[in-house]
Amino acid sequence: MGINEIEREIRESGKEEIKRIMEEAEEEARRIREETEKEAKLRYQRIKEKHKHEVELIYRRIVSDSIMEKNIKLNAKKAEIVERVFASARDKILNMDDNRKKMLLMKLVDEGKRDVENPVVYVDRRYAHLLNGVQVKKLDDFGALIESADGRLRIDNTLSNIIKRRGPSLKPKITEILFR
Amino acid sequence: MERDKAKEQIYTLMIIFLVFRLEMDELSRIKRVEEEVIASIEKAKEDAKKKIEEARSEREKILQEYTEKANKEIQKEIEDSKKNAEKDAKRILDSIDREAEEIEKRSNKNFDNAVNALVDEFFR
Repeated sequence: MGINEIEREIRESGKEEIKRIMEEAEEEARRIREETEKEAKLRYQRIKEKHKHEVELIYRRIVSDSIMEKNIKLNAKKAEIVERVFASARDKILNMDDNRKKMLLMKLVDEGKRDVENPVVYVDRRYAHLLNGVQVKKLDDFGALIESADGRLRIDNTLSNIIKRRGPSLKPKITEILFR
Repeated sequence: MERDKAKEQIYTLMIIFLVFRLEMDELSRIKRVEEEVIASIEKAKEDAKKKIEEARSEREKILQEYTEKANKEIQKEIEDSKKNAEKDAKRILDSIDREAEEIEKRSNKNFDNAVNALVDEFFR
């Protein structure tokens, strides 16, 4: 083997070693980049997933707040109209003719008397002429106040008190009629 | 005769010396080539190391880039979601007056019936 051939062989084997070193390095760098890319994508997805709920929640919170505000306002509007019905019913009763007023007053007195022993019936001066055997008292309202003789039991069947007492159970029915 | 023999020995020694000298030159040349190749391999090792370190140092940068991208997108999604929600909320709130008016109209139609029903309740 000549000197030139030996030299060529040494150089060739050097080149091969360099090629191997560089290829290994390229491969390692590629692997590191691939792993990094994979990890980065995973991190990206985790962050997005974590905040997905927050994004949905923001929408729902704002919209449901406005729906709630709308419902409150519309319910207030309905309640106001129902109150107007009660006020109109009251006016209607107060503007009824005496016969009708008398009928209603008798009913209110009878209902009150049912639970009171030896009842004493009081009505406002304005309505005293409608019934016999009643006493006058300043009630400032239509209706009657029924008291036991000993004053221990009292039934307030004035219009305001009846509306106050029966209002909560009557409101759903009135609402149903108004907004059906 | 003796003289010829001595001459021949001198020639032989000269040839050996020349051959030895020649081989020494060749060995030096091979050694030089080997040193060059070793230096190239060392440089390649250094380059390879740098290449791997470069890939490793890019890792944090890439992770940071993806994190920033995700956060930026989320921020935009939140803003879009908020904008859409505010738009829808405005539409809902804007409908209040119109619906209140409809309620008023509907109730006007049934108002007298409701009053009569309530009065009847007092008589019942």
